[in-house]
Amino acid sequence: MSVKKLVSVLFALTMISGLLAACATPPPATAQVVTQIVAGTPMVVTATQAPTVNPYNDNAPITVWIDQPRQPAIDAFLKANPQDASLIKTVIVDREQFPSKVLLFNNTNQGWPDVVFAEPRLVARVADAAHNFPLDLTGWVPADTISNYSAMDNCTFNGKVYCLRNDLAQFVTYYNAPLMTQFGYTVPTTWEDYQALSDKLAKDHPGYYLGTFGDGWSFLSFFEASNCPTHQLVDVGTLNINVADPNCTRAASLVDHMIANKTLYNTDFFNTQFDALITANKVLMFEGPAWMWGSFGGAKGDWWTTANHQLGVAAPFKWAADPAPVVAAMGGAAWTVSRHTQNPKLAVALITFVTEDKTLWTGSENFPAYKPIQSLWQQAVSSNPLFANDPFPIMQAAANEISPLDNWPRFDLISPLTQFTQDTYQKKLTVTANLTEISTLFTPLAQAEGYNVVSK
Amino acid sequence: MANLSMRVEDQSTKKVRHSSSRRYWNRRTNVAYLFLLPYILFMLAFGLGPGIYALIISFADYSSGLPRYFAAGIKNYLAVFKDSRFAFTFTNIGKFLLISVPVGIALVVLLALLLHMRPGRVASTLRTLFFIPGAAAGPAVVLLVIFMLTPQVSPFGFLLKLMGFNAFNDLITPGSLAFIFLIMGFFVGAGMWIAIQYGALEGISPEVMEAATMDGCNEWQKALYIKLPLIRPYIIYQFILIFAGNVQLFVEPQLLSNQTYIHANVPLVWSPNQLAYSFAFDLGNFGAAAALALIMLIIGLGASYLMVRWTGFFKIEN
Repeated sequence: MSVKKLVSVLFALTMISGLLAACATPPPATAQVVTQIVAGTPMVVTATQAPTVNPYNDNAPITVWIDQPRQPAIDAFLKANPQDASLIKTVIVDREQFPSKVLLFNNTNQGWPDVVFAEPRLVARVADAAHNFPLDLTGWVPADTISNYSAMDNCTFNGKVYCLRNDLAQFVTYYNAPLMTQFGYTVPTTWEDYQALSDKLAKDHPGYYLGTFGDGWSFLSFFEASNCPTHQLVDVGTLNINVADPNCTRAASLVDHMIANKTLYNTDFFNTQFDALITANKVLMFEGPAWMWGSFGGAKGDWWTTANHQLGVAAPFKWAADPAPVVAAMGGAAWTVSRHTQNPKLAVALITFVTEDKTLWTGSENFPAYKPIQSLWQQAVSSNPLFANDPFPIMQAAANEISPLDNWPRFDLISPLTQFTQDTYQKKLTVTANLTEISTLFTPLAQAEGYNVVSK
Repeated sequence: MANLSMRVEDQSTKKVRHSSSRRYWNRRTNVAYLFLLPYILFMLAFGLGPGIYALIISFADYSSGLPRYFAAGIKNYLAVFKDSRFAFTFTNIGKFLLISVPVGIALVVLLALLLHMRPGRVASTLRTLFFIPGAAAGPAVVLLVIFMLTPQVSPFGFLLKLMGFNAFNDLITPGSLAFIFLIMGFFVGAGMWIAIQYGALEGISPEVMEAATMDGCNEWQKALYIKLPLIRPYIIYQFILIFAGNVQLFVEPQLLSNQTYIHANVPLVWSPNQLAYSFAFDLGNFGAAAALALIMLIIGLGASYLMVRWTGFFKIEN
């Protein structure tokens, strides 16, 4: 076939398919509340939904997306509500894929899950105009119930409640209590004391560690806790990225100091080499999220083995100049409901049950976001022989100090930050010297998402 | 029938013969189309169909989440060119092609020529051995290569440590990525191409080889002056397919940049196909993703066309 012929055939096919596409039924014009971002400025375009005679069906089945650890919660709901057993289909998913999957379902106009277990940072990503996924829960969950949940800021977008918090993941200080006594150290309360301790440790006991710095989460454990504006949401459409801020440089010089005196390891928290060090009692302390004690031979003991009464929990460090600690968070999930669901009644019943049920939370390693059951959780945790001291008051105090920086923009922070830490190590630069790379990495991601990037 | 042909007799002999020969050819081409049919159907369904769909949605506007056809004009194409990652990804893929295409072809042809020099059990065993890794699919190979390049677990860990690589992250740097992808690609693809080039070498007429031996060629001269020019069309064919395949690099960088499981210094978006994926699934702009996919198609087609024109690949000899 000659090229000319080929081109004409292709042209004909294109025309035919174009006609077919034009003839196809256009997607139904549904009334939507759409937040459009026009040239960086957020603009709320509201189209009122035409009143309909109950568009919902109380007997419609729902699909629930969860991860493996959430299975017992669903099972408990089904046990308590056997009549709904046939209506609930659970699917175990990798929830990092949740935003992309929603886009696919939007394209086919079907297939959305009804309930999804995901962190508020993922809910934020499906709450924009392109995804337009979550259901506003204000009409479905009574206001006084919503006010019983902690940290609902992360679930509230423009006054709409798009999720209910499941658990909180505020950072606290975990330390090896017998080892601290053996070395004659006291747990620092400020980052300055922490740095001073690192010098002492490096001198007296080389080969021991005070933490790790090697991925996005460990980065945030230092920088979010320093209130460093690497990703500060000024408003819905504006993101402040300013790594020259003194809050950033003080964290950077702390990290550099401790990398230099070899008291910070260079991986993420769950790296096999770092885990071996923890199990071998070579790690004196590190900042970790509230759920991390479960990895210490506690509820599951899936990562680290520790003797009883070895794990100490202390308040997260604060900067001497700051009035109170600013606490970073690693996860802390939520439940969100789809606006496409046929059965919001059942969906809401499910998410309130799994976040509020007493028996379910008694044995959990996660810090419950639902305030009325926090005291119950306290009884289980405080009496756990794993701990050297009662961790509950510390965790409870830290829960109220979570940084506003835990409200994430609509893009993933961890991957670029992990790349930043690895790149810094590979280039043999100090974190301070390489800090501007963060703004180089974040700015295009933020702009692609429609943010107006400022630096102040 | 016999009577009939008797009646028409001589005057129509020529005609009958002509028509019968035409019918013979028609039947032959019909059968050919029948054999081609499954391929054509699948090509329409999974090749041309999606291509046309991409062309349509590359002009669709996705700013509200759902497509509005023909509403975007060329905005999606502009969005692709304006994206800050566009130049970065195309520089990366350009470097990768510059390394992977010539190295891939040279190594494959060299190995095929070497195998062909010593035909027999050793050569056929080796050929099979080379072929086996091709059974592993792309993602599995990525995991395998990560395993091989992690000094703590790799069977060649001592070698890596001798070379000064103590951790996986010492090896994976932005500068080394193109080479890592070359290793991954070569490991999977080389076996098949060695088999193809070996087949081409087997197809060389024994008389030609005998004549070369008579004229006093040694094995190396035979390989260089006789075999290599004779398998040239297959090398061009390999170039076209390897270029088209490598320009679409996606799985390897995508898996390596998964920071949830692999904490390596790999940019989130390294290749143009990843950029298209990012347009679609990070930003929800399927239109820009389609536009970029079509740009990639044009690059692949353009390179193949130039190669075919330059070498006269489709010219039928004699």
